[in-house]
Amino acid sequence: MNWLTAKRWSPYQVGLLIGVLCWVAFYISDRPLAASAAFAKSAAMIEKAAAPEHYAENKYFHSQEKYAPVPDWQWMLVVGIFAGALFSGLISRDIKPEIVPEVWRSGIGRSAALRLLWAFIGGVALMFGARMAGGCASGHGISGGLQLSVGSWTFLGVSFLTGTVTACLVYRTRRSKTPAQQ
Amino acid sequence: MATITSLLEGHQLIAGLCIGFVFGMLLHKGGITKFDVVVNQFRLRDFTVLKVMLTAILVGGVGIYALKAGGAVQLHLKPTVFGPILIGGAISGIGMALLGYCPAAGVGSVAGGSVHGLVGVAGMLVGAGAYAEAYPYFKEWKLLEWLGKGEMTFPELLGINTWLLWILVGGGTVFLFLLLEIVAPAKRQ
Repeated sequence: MNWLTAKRWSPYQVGLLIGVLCWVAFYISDRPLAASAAFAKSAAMIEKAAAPEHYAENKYFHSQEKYAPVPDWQWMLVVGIFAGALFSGLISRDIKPEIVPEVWRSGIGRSAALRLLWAFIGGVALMFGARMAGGCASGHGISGGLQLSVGSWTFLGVSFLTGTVTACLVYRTRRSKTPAQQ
Repeated sequence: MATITSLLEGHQLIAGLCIGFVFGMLLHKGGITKFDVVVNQFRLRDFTVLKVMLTAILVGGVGIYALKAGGAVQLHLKPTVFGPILIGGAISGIGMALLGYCPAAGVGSVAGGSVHGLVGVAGMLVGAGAYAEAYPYFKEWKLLEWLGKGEMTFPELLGINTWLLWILVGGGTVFLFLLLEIVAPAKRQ
């Protein structure tokens, strides 16, 4: 039981199990693991409820079946991600409110408003780019990567590159101070 | 295959939920739902994310190609369209470094109490809505077909045997892991 309640597992063990989970998803559901289209679907649900006329005219949400504002396999997958992370966090006592994480605090400062503003902007950019590219770190990164798709590996390479450049420019901590964890 | 599929007939939403549950649990156990872990990967100080992703790709890919060879599964390739993938990937990478989560892990982080993760999820929904608004223009400019190559895999592109490629990728990955364990060893808990 110690294994199940541990806060962290070896990254290799986690990677191996995610790989096996991909077999299961392909085999029993004929689906790759992916997340970002579910966000488009959720946005469609919200827009349909909040501004039905505007939604009715929206070309993107009507371009493919997978954006239709009703739950599907992938949308349930994302609900499951929340539930699974919650379960894992609960049994390993690893749930605590966090507004300004360690690395942000030491690199940028303790302002909660600033952190929340940039989290929002980051979220907008992350999903805008993912929808343009047709996938995110799950759909392109893991599922596309394991299928040896040239486009998915291109996505992995370019997003890793711009992410690395951005992080190295934005988060400048003093080298001597390693982030204290636990 | 047929028996499992028929057993699951009409229960695919539950299958998605269960697979998501395990995925969410693994994202948490791997530390992928932690801002500091993801950002420190981008700062090249903690290689957890890379280790998880490459192991998942290697194990997942060899298994999927083996299952495909046995006729048990089919591939689901996204079309390779270099224009939007390069632009979208670049924007997405910048966003991920600022938010500190990928979309799946962002959802998982909220379950772990991340308030800024929740704001990030709201941002992602706005981002999806904003993309939907921009979509007709991108369509008109033919941006979404720019440098489109259709479904394209490395074995086809390079004209080499899939298994030979997996041996090369596997060997390279194991070598990289050995190197990383010397330079940046996995933290013992």
